[in-house]
Amino acid sequence: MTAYVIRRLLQIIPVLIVVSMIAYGLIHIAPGNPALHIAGPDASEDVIREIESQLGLDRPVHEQYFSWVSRAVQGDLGVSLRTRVPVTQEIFQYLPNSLALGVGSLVLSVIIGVIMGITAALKQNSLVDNGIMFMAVSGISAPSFVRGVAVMWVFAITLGWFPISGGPPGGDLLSAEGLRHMMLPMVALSIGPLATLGRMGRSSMLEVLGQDYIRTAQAKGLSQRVVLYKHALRNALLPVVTVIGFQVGAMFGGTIVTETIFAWPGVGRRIVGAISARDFPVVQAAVLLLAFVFIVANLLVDIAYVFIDPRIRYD
Amino acid sequence: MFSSLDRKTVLIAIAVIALGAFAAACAPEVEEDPEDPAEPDEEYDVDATVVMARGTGVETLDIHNTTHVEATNTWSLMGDSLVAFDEDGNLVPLLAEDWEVGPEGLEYTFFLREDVTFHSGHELTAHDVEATFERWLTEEGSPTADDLGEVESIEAVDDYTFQLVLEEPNNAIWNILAARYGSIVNASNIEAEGDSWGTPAADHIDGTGPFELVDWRPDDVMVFERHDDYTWGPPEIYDNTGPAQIARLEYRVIPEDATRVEELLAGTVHLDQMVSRGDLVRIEQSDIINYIEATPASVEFLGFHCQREPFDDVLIRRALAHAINKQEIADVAYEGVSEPATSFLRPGMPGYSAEMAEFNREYDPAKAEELLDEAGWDETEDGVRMKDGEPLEFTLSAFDDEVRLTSAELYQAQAAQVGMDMELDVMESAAMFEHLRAEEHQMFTMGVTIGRRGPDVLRWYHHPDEQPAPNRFYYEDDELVDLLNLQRTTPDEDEQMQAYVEIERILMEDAAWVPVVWRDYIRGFNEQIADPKVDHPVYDGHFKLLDMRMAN
Repeated sequence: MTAYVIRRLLQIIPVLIVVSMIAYGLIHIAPGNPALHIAGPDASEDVIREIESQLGLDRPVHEQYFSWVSRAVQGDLGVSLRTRVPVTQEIFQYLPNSLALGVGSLVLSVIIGVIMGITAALKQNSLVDNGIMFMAVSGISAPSFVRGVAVMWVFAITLGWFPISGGPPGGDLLSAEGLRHMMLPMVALSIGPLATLGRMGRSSMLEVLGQDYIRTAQAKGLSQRVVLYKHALRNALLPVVTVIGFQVGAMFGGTIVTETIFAWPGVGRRIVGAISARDFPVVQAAVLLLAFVFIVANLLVDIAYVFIDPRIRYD
Repeated sequence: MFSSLDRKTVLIAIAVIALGAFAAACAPEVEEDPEDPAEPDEEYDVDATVVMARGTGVETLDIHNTTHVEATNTWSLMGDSLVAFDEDGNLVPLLAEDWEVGPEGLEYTFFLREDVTFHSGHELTAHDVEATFERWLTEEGSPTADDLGEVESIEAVDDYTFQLVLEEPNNAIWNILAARYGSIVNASNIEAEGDSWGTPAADHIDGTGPFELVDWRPDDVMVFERHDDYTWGPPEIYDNTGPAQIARLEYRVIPEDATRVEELLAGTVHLDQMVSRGDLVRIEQSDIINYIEATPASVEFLGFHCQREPFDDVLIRRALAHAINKQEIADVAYEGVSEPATSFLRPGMPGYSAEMAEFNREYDPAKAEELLDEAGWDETEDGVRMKDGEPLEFTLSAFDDEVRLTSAELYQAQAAQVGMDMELDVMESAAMFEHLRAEEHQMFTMGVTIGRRGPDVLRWYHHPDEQPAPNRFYYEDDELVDLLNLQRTTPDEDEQMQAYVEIERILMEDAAWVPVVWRDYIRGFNEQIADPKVDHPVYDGHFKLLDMRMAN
């Protein structure tokens, strides 16, 4: 197991290198010049050239890339072209906000999604099942900005329970006000994964409940609780956990839209601003961060298999 | 059958709902401060916090390394320039209480107020002004250093006298000196902060303005507190010369237009600086929001690449100018909050003359068709005119924001009515500006706020020295070049005014561009703001909120 984890961790390195090359290439191919953004659209050619020279943008792209890599391996991700603040500072200042949002949403969606899925499976073809599946399909179908606006409309504008938008006052995430501000974007962000997990949980549970060993357990006279928790749930969870791994990536991608709607100051918002300004170092660092989160989430899922299903071994 | 699970399910669901309810219940209640009881009979709350919202955040406050409006707006609150323009375009004192101009128009001597202090308590002297200009002129890559023209010298003559000497006359200098990025900075503060100065990492960014920046979380909020010593607001512009009548100002970044309006309706935002036209109906239905049509010196126009087919033919340009129904653009794309433009310079700003309206090309499709016939483009059955077997087709490059996109679609429909096949190439701003700079356009649509340059913007946009940007028109005419130079250097004001009129005449006669709409911006105020008004409703001047008051 330890060897497997180390091997998987080492595999992260080539993946990140490839991701960084693709991200670097794409943002340089896209039209738009960061020097033009800094100087303003009406600046003279001389000023633009001067800024390009200052920022090293006048060098060939591959040279810029290797220069970036050589500094990145030493922990220096460069300086934001827009704000002149070190990228690590820029990203990590807002990472806690995005992590809190992402992790909170994940927990919410896993708890509610799995409960919904299991309940629907146990009440198959009933009104409850149809109601849950209707909600799940609606949740999956609605684009993230619609989900965000709907949540805002109901809980902030109509009921007035939560603030309409904004980050934690004073930047304090752990305060009661910080929690209040985070609640709606967290709920909005969790709806999509929650719906997916609900549907997956239902189909997985139904499949397991139809297996011979469940019928055998029931025939042996085991209580329904034992049948469900000890025999069915664990097996039903395996595909659900796989989906959770993918949902983590989707969720961190989804923070971009949700953070914008709710004016939540997170990494997603910084990425949007950085892309508009062609702020290469920030985009590069943020893409690497998202790739890293996605890879680690999937590694954790693979490790979780071992605990859920003892038959799985990584020797 | 699975009753135990059901109970668990219900319990967990209750727990989740309870968490939400707990968070909602944690909302702080408004507590009355026994030390500071509200005076019920007072009309205004001088201890109030006003929350303003805007769509985009400030990237940098290094005022010599940016031209972004969010940064200059913020410096307008935090700092002051030497002089300012009042609502009628007259020059008025700000940090300089008086000034003298040498006989050749080259030497500018400024006599500073002696009662000005920075937020830090540091007293303003001519040495700060000298250091500001030194940095402005020498900072590598400064996008605004060239605006001052050729500077021979800058010097603090004594503690309260500053002298600027130019190598050649520059009538646009006053616009530059009064611009928001002309704010005087504290040189010792810049030195102390080093590379952090102007960034969110700085401990303090010192200015002389009515508000001091005390907290800055990019893309989230900027917090300002009142500069209690501030008393030097120009009385020609503000009823209140200082200090500000509110204690604290929060500048929140809310990217979504609809979210900003909802915050305004909820009273959690008191002022939205740029209300989207799409939200006007919602505001008009509300009785708790007032809105004001602020009219900065801004114009939206259609521009042609005058050396590229088919717009190298003046008849085509004139025909398209007559095909454009400006009233329809103003009514539909701008929701009626803007008026059709009859010239590039707009009424109320320096350089404007009512004579300019005479050169305007009125909406006249019949005239447009006549001009196209004259140019040899024949009508066809499918509606698109042809000449020598080629259809009359071209591409309009346009920004992707909602208003300009709607405008572009209207231009397309209007051009089609006279047999022109206009394609749209819509792109986001970074791509668009690079596209224009690379001369990939045939025609384009954009807008410009004229404040920074004043009427000298005409030179900036049409002088051959300014290609490829901001002169994206490539219209060349020797008489025009002479006039553009003359307006900048002549000491005779009448001659200068006549030059502006002649410049507008030439550009409109040859239809190098088509001014379409004098654009107005909409500012929304919650009813808690007493007597809302817009600082500088006409000219693109200072935004200091000195007259803003919060009702009790």
